[in-house]
Amino acid sequence: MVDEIFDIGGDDTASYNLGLTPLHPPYKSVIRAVLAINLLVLLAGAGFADFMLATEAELTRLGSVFLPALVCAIVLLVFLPERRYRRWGYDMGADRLRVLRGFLFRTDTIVPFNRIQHIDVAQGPIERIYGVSTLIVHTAGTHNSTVALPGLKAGDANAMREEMRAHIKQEMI
Amino acid sequence: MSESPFAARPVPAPELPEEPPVLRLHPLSLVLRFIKLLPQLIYIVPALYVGGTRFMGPILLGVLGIGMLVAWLTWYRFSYQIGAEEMRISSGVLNRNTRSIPYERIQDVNVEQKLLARLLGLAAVKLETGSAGNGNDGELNAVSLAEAERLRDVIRRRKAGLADQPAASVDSEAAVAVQEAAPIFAMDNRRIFIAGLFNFSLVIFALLGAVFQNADFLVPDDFYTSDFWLTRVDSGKSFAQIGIMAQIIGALAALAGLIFIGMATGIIRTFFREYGFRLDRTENGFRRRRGLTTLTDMAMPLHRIQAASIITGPIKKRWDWHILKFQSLASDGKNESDHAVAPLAHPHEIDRIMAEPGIVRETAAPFAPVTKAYWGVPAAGFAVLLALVSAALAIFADLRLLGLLVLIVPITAILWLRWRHHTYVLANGQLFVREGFWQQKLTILPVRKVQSVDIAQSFLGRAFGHASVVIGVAGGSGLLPLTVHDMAEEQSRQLRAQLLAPIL
Repeated sequence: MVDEIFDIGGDDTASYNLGLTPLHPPYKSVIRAVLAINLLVLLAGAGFADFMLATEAELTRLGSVFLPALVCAIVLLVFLPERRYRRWGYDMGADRLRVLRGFLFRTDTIVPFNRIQHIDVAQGPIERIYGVSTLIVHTAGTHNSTVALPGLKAGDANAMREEMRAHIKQEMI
Repeated sequence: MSESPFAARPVPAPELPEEPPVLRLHPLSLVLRFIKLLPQLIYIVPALYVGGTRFMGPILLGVLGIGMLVAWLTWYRFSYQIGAEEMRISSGVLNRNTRSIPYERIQDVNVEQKLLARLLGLAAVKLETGSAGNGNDGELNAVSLAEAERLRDVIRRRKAGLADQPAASVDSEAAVAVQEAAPIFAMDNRRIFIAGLFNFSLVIFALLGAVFQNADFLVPDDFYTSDFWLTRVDSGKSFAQIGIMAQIIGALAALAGLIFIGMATGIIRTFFREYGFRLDRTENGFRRRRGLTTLTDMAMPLHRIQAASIITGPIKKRWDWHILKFQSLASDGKNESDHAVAPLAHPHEIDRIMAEPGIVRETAAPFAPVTKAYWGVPAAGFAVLLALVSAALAIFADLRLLGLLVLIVPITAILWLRWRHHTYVLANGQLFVREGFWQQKLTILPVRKVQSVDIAQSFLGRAFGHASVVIGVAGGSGLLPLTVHDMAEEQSRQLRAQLLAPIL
């Protein structure tokens, strides 16, 4: 609904991420939680500004800054996580990892397994609550020295790591 | 008490018969440290102002004394060992740190002599392992030059898996002597002079500006006003009286002066950096030596070379001059991500160097252009921006400022030239990418050195159907990765598939 309006080209969901594997759905909640924390900080600032403007400077009525900010925050909190989630896509090939990310500036990266130097599986506290992990692949390239793929089911991330590790050989670097 | 180290000392430890000797840096490195310490004394000057000059002598002596004591302790507690399998560096006065670097992980051994170190006969040995950090992984700050050369030879030989025999050392020295006779590329002073002509640089003005900024208390108050200069130069007469021809001649003379200063700066800088440039072929790669005051001696193993770039320009091209750089994992300076192996050379000389890592300079295949979006999109963007800015200025300031719109013409011309010179071709297992009009750079990347491939597309690209291919290569600049800009979408996918096919 809202998503189609903003999509350039008006593509449907499947073709938006080129038919790649979507992330683990609970990742939306992770995005939402992180976003909520950031918005809370901003809202606190807006509340303070609102209070100062209304009571100290007596320029505005109480709530004339805070309430619009609150509405914006709620709108963002409702719609943004879904959109951010949909920007990601990945494909675990037999010999390569493909990661698609970004909205206005989209990047579609392919890392061949035999070019991987080492692999991290990372999990933050919020990610842990929802059982998702971030897979970070390191290459020798200066550009794309790390390729991060967030929002994988913890078990999947580990399985992907094991599979990739089997491919890492002593390379010529 | 039989476990006491004192009691145990008379009995030689039998379990470690080949414990390598513990070596220290050259004692003269303390002199280097002392000289490096001197500028720090400036920090106590404010303290002296406050405290009065009565205690100046004792305070200075005290600070210097403490500094030297720390330096001596640091020196005393810094040691290195050349073992059979690894090199060990122990350091730290209170927090001891022992780093062991296995020989097979050492990629480069570089010897560097700065001016001061050269006067004292010292050299720094820098070890590089393949780790991702940009710093040196091990550095022996100052050992004698002979020791530095010995270390380099020993480490290279151990790395190659050879035993440490005196005979081998003689052999390798003999081999070095043979190579000394025939460098693969060298530059005489004439060549360095010509290279300097192309290294036009106005950095001196930036330096002067910085000096004025910091020393403005020495400058008269009216220094920046025209009256200050007019009264001095013109003795009251106005510039307007001297006629239009004289004004033009004056402007031309100023321009010529600027060019002369720029060229002179370029020549001087180039001489300092490139003096005595020579590139040798060693058993596993290249060795480059150069420098007038700071001598650098860099080793570049062939297998670490990732890509070659050949740089020229409209003026250089007239005399068939080119610069050859190799992109390598190592970097021999904080500001140099490529290794210049030929700062100014003709194609046949470049071919000789490039034959060693097996990179081919020329291809018969035709270079393909990228889409017109590469100049059209930014030109349109600039036009819109200029239109907005000049319209705003015309409304709020002066109608004549609409003339700023003329700038669209040169900007578009530059963008168009940039597009004309951006071409690529994939041939013979190498990707060739040309870019730039004023600095024409041809990057040649053997496909097997590709680490990752991106297709990057902006929202405009999605609307017009073009995308860029960004290639991850080890070494080189992280800010400006090798990119084929704004290709047709379909071609970008094809190129990526072709780049990845040989690796997978």
